[in-house]
Amino acid sequence: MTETAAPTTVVAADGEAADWGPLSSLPGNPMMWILILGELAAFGAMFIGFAVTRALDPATFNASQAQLDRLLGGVNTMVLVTSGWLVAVAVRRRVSGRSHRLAMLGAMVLGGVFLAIKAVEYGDKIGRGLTLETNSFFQLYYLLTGFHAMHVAAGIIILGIVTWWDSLENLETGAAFWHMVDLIWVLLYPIVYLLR
Amino acid sequence: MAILTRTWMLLMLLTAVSMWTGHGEGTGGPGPLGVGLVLAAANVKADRILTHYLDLHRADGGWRAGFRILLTLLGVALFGIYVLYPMIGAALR
Repeated sequence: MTETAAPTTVVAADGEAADWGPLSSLPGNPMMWILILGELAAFGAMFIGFAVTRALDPATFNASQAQLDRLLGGVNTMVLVTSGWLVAVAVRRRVSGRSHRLAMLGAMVLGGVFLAIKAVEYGDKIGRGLTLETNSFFQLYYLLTGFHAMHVAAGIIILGIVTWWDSLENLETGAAFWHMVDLIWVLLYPIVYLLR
Repeated sequence: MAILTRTWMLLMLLTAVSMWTGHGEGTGGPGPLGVGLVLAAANVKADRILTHYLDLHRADGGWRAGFRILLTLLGVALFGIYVLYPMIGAALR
């Protein structure tokens, strides 16, 4: 498999290469990198907020976190990481002129599996009376994981769109969004599920 | 072995290590060393996703360094809050 993807240049309406200044050296569409930086900053602030809130009431946070299924969270991490790998493979296949749609379909299916596991988790918690109103841990748990799950749902739609309209730039931009969703989860999982 | 597949295997391995380190019944925590290990594993995973899946290795070195610094600062801040939480909690109350 070819491992070096050709850089994609964003072209302006007049046919000239768009000048994005320092953003020009980033692969794919620079607008997606602005989104990635914004999302990292937003989630980073929420992670710090989660840790500081825990410092104020560690007993409640530790007891509440023990109600989460750490194994299921880890399985979901592996599902999302595998989905990200399939999207990266799809982009490389597209660059080398080979069919990429099966890999993209597999990535979307795994995205659906992630959401299904998340729904099972939510169903279990709500069934045991652990809701947004239970305490500050569960407020932040539902806020962080729910906000992330919305990104996963949006990402599946975006992957579907760029699989259909599959110019290299579209595919790289959609892939970048999906990897950002993956990146946020690998940081979120240990903070919400494991650290105490 | 293709770099993408090697990266995927590393991500899976680090996830398993994190699960093992952070696992445990009840509220007993992994301790400062475990917290550091879990955060370091998350940091390496995020860096590998940026470098090989988001293709940051194609960008200027400044961008790569900038993202690494951002992730390291986040990890160090979280480690500090988790290890020093009794002092932080007392100071904020």
